[in-house]
Amino acid sequence: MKLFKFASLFLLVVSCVCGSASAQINIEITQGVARGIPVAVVPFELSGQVDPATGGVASLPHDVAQIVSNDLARSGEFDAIPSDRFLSFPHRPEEVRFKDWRVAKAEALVIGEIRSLGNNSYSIEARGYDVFREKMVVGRRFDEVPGNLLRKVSHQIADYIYEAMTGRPGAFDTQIAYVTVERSGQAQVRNFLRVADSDGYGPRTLFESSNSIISPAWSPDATRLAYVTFETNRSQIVVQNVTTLDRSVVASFRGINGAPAWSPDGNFLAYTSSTAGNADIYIMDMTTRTRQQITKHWAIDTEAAWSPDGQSLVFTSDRSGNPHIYRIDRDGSGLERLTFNGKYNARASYAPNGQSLVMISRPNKEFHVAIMDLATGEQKSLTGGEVSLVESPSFAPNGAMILYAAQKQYNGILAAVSADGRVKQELRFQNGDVKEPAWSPSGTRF
Amino acid sequence: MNNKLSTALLLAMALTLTACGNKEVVAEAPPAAAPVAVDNNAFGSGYSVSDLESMGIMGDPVNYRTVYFAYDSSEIAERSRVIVEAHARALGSQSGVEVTLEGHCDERGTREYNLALGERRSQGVARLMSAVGAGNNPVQNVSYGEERPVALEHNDSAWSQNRRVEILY
Repeated sequence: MKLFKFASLFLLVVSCVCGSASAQINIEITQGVARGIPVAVVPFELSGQVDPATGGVASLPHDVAQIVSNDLARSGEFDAIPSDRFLSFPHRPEEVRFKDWRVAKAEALVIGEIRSLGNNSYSIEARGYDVFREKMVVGRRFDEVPGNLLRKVSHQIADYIYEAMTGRPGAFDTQIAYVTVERSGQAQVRNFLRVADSDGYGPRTLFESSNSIISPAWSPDATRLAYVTFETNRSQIVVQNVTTLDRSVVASFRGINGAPAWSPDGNFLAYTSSTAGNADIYIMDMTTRTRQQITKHWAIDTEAAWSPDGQSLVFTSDRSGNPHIYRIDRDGSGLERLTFNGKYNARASYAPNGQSLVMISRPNKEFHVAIMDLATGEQKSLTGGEVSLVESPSFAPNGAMILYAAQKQYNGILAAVSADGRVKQELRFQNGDVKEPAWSPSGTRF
Repeated sequence: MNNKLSTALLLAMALTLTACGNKEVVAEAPPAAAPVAVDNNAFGSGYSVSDLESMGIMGDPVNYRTVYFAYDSSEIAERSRVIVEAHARALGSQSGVEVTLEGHCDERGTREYNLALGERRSQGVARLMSAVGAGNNPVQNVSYGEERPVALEHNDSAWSQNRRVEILY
């Protein structure tokens, strides 16, 4: 069964890395929309297999309804209604009385039931309702869910509810990659490449080095990360499978090797190399490992990112005297300059819909995360004085949020901002500086 | 000109002081008190000692192994040129010495752009070295971008220390 193959892979990961997992991450909304959609998530009913030890139904390893509620609230687009305002606690469609939810001022309602099948396996039904229209907008059934995938299924339920209520796909069932830097004294520095769920749960270490780790980039199927290490005292590009943890060096040519970016089909890797004398953009065929030089210019060309259709790349070049964003067809033709404002625009990447770019801009003294509308060329700063030295912005796969690194009160932190600038979050880690975040593409649905 | 005069004065004073501290020397006729000729090519640098000092170089420039850069620049300033040329001359008389030029940046701007900028800085130093004639010594350019700062603070002073090329051999 396909499901079980997936489940066993997941088990392998957990057993490999549980020893190295560290601090949990807390995500705090620092700025939300004035009013989100009020949502009531009723605790799911648990029934089924009796636990011989307790005589009751085996308790769940994870609180599904709580995870769904937290996801929706964390997006900043929903306000979770506390359960003490609930007049009833329905689990099945026939138990829903819409009047109760209008009184509780809920616009969205989530109910569900979980059956314990024994052997740490569950079946889950979840339903979402539009209270005003008195209508079920989403209903999903998940069969034979192993206990260790309950969180994943909970995030998927949140994704379905989010999509039904906002019209845009959710991005809760995703992961984030990031690098944590832990210093003990001036000389001792440990760098950890880590991956955690999008809600910060279950961080695990993929790679540790006494040297910097930068530029993690997810493969489009979310199974591999390409990143840059200095473990040989030179920059090199490594690809690592996030499940098996197998790693291989894919670029260690003369000069610098950096800025890996997977093509949308996962077959090619754009990267920066100075093997021909100075930094230019190359594309590597990941099957044959053949390489093609895309830019040939004496200036610095780096930080390539693919257009969603895979036909072109944006990249940073200082050929005008300052770093700016350029676009080029993937065959190296059709060069076009995209940014003209200010003296520093770098590390651009496309929104999933291809209509805008997010980048690092320096309109004045400070560096900002900025979004540029490709149709109008208009640039808008999304970050202000609350953080400084912003870096490495990346879109959530649904395009709603942008994750980035910044300095705040002398600590390296991760933060997120909605593409419209209205919602801001900070990801709190227990110790160490955190940098180089990358939001994973959506994984396989259950 | 002023610099040269003051150097001469300083040297004369130094000689006098030395003389005072050592009676035996005084007993012998002091060397011709004629103004000491200013060496305009101290340590082969093409500059006088005081000119070097005004650039912040005390003594032989070859004792300095780090050269610094302006923000987002790989231009080699006068002080840096003097130091790099001193190393080139020192290396010119040797062969088979492996030279590594490590380029670094401050933390501002993106990491990958800085990785490329650090390399451009080290390449600039390498070009100057070979122009002066660093002999047949193999030169390695390495860039660490902003990944290996020497100063960890987030201010102008730290940033100016971190924008550098280290000359290692």
